[in-house]
Amino acid sequence: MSTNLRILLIVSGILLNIILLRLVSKNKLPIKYSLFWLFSSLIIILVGAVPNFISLFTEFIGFETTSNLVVGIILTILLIITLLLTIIISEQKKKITLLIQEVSMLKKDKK
Amino acid sequence: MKKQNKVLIIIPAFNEEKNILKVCNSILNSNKKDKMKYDFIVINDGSTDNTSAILEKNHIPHINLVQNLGIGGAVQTGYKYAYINDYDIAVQFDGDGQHDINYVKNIISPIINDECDMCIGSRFINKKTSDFKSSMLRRVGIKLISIVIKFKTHKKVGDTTSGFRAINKSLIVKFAQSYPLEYPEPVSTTRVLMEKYRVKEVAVSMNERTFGKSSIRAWKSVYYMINVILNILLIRRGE
Repeated sequence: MSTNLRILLIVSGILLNIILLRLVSKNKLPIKYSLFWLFSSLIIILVGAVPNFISLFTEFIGFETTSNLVVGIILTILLIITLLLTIIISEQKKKITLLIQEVSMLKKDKK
Repeated sequence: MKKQNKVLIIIPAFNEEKNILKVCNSILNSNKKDKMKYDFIVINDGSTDNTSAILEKNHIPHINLVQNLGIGGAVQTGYKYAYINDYDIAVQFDGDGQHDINYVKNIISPIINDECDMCIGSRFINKKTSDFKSSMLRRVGIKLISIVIKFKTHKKVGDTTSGFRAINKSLIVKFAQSYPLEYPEPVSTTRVLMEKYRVKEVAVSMNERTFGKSSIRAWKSVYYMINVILNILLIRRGE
């Protein structure tokens, strides 16, 4: 893995970390949802900082280059985050449905 | 003398300005002629046409959902209303004129006699009663869902997507708490069967829709089938 890519990974990982922590401290992102993101940004930093560790996996899994593995890791992280989002949306849909039903019934009683 | 059962007819309606008044009048007429009296409530599922104004103007009992929920959420609102107001039997009845009020008697009588907990109005039991059997493709779909339900619950249900059904009090309580929002008819039937409730089917006749289109459109049917079948196969007891 080239030095430039390593620097890019470390810098963007740290940036993501800073943004996340600021969002949490400004109450814009609940800590519950930020944990997975923080964890992901740490992985990105780790990949940039300790490339030897990652290149072991590269050969083992069968990627041709370490940079491909890095793309694979980030893709996996994104997939998991999207799945979590879908779950959160479904839970919210249930809550919204309940709210619509209850509000509508209250509105009827008022008349 | 046996206590008279309180019966509520739940009519989900989405953009049914052309049909809804006729449907409600048919119930009112039946109440005038018949000994058996039915209360009814229209659940206006966030219609964007004049449905709401028509309901208001004609003093038809109704609940206006403030947003569109889809058939599952709308019917469940009716079950919640039935639960709060202590009804003994709730009948789901389409707002588009497909169902015939004269068959409500047949659907609720097995429940009054405590032969079953849910009674489904089926188009396929008596060949003569129903002119409208829906398209070939739809029938194949209904049959396929029936096979999947049989596989899952070892019980036979013929008209799996029929929206003409009655339930007793124990199921009103259950459905008020939890009712499937997607593909409610086949999914709720399967859930009910898996929890050992008794389900029965009686013959009814259904009319062709007077105006408008059914919510299940042809181009969506494959998508619909995959969803329903997966959904049924994944149901677990106690959910």
